[in-house]
Amino acid sequence: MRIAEDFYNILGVNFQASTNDIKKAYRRLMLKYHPDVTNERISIEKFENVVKAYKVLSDSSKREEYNKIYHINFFSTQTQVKQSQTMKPQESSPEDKKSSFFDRFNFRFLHRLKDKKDDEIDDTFFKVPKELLNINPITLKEQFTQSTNKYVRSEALKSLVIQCGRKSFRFIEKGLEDHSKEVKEVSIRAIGKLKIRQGLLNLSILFNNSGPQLKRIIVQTIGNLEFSKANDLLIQYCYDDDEEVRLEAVKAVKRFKLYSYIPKIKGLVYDRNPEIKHLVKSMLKEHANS
Amino acid sequence: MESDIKMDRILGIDLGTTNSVMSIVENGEAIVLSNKRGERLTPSVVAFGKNDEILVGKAAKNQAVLNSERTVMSIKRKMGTEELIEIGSRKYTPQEISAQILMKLKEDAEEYFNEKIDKAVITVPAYFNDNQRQATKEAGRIAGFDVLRIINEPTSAALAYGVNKNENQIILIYDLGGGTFDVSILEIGDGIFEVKSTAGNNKLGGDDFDKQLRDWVLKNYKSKNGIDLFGDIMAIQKLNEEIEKVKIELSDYERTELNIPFITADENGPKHLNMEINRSDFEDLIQEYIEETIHLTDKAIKDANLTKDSIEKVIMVGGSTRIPLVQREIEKFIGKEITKGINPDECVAIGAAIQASILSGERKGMVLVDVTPLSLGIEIEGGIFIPIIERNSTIPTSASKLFTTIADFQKSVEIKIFQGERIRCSDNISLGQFQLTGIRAAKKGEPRVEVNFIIDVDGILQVTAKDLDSFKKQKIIISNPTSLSEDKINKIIDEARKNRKIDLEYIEKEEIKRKFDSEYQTLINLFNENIEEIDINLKKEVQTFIKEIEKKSKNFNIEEFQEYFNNLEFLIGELKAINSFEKEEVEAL
Repeated sequence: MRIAEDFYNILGVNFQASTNDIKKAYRRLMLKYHPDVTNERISIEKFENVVKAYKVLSDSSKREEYNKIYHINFFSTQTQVKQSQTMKPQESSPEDKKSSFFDRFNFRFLHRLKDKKDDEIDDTFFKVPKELLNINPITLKEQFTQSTNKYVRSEALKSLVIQCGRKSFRFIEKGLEDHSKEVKEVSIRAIGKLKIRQGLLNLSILFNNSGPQLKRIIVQTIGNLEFSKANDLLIQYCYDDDEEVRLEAVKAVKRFKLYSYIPKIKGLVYDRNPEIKHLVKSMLKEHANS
Repeated sequence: MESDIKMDRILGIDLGTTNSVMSIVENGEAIVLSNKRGERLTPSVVAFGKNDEILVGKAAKNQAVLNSERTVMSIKRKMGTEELIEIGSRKYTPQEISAQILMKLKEDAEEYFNEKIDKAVITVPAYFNDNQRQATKEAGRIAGFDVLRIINEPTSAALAYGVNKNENQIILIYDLGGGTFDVSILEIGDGIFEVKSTAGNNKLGGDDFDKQLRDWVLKNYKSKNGIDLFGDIMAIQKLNEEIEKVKIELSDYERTELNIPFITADENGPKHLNMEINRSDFEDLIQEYIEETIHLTDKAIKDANLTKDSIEKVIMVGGSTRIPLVQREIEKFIGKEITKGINPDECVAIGAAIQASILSGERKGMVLVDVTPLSLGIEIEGGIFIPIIERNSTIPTSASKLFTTIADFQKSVEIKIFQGERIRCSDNISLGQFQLTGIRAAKKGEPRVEVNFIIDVDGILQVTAKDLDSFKKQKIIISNPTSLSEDKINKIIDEARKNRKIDLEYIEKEEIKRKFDSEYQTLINLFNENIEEIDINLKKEVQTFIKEIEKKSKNFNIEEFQEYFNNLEFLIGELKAINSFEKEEVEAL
């Protein structure tokens, strides 16, 4: 069976939509796409999709099943909403541990990060599941701003970034202020992916207030930006207090062949970290040769 | 400004088993059009004169007794079958007969508006299968209509009921007509008329009740008089006409009398039929049929995932719903009073006219969302039926199925299409078969052909196939035994036009005959009423005349009848004279 369509998106309703909302949406679309009232040939396909979506979402048991299969139970179940009202949102509340699509996805991602050679840029970071890409941006925005689940927020933001590109910058900025690391990471990488010049300032501010893990991610991202201002920052980060961050920054300089900046980091040949030492030495050699 | 843009009038037609009705939207309001005779219901009866002149409607119905072999009734029940109707040496398909009814309606509507009307929305029972729908559409084409849509009768009735209602409600349409039974459950609101489910039996209706009652009468008559009328076509025809009246009377009265003088004759002279029939007799006869409709109603409710309690309105459509037993049983079953104020004869046609105005864009913010009544699928090994589109699927809809070969280098695949709910294909309705040819030579199981089944808004199936290896699209022609080819349709259209000219000339003559029929009845009545007072000579004269007419009526010739007509007038005059003379005498005393 093909699982390309997102039924909520087709009907233009959000995950919390009541049965009545769904019915209203369905009827509105019938008046638009039924072959009796439109001559568009394309509408037959749309009509069939609307019917398919409605048949599932209007039936509570089918809807539940659908939600389960498509792992959107976090969004839809009413109890979840109620819980979030009564419970203090916690970064790692037990709810977050529910086996959801987002959970598994994130776990997969983290797991992969560990296994990965650090100098590889993670291109697959924004590869969100197909069905997420079909979700209506309005719904995504809602989820991103309202969900108490960090995975939901981060996946929603990713999807927004892919669907809306630079237009999503408002949300990317918001994500940088999110209290969850995961969401922040999405924002950071989004700035890199979309090459948003404005975002550089946000990143430099965030850098100064972040722990080593996020700093490393910021460094990786900034190197990718290819703005001269970004290179300046990168060189600056080569002298960060954190060893890991320094290493990341040096790697970025090497990766982006910022040879003109090499003289500025030659002091690092004396770094405590042998890897940094080695990297800088080899770069100096190459620079001298060219 | 707006009135400058003249929209084509579209006729909404309820092509019924016993009666047909036409409606049209005028100034935003659906009205029922009367035919030329001023009747809102046109009997779905077609009769062929000696020279193939064609009569339709009341005129045909009136002469049925005299011309039973060349009169066709309840043709709707044969739609979509291979059965041919033999009139003399000529054989007609059911489509052609139905087309005659449609042509008559078209003509009358055109006369009413004094302009051409060539677009129509025609209704069919919801439980009609693909063959029956195709046949109806073809009948429309033969009649010269561009059939914009085939819509389901109960759905159409729902449209007529809900057109000006805003509240959200779940309604049940119980449609028991002359030949078919349908039950549909709809949810209406926000301008959407959505069919949730439908069930039915397209071989159950008022005709069956008539037949039951008729057979009962014949059986009683035989046991009382020792005369078997079963083989007497003439007697049966006379009885048929009266039986329907008796049935209708029993809806209003507890008992009624069936009176057919001169139903037959034997060596002892003419025989009359005189019988008292109680409503309860009739109810016993039809009980089983009504139970079947209740069973189907239950099935529809279950198919809609609803309970009886959730039904908010029960709407009765079709003439047979006037029968008190029907109303009682459905009220008992649903536990709710039926909704009154809907004309069960006219609402289907009115709905069709409303649908026409939706299609023309005249009426906005309203749409019908219907379903397919029967599952549609194919035959697999062992004659097993595999549904591809399930019943009660919202239409239009489509589904695909992949086919492959079962032998090496097989070049073609045969696909048989069926419609129905039974597991074995032989129990379902065959919609035809087709051959997928030009499959590339390959090992078995390798070639892949995607066959696409599409049910359009008319509920009619279309099939296309695509060779997934070459992406070549194949057009499939389903060899449907009941469907007519394009050529055949065109031929019939030509022929019908030609006949139509004769028909128009014939109508004048037909009027004479109609008058004759009614006068003849007067004569018989006068004769029976005054039998005691009539002198022997006049009695003999009248009896000879009646005998002659009865004999002649089998070979009905209109020219001869003009002569008989004069004779008839004379006899009536004589009989009336006796009557008035007697009365005068009484007064004088």
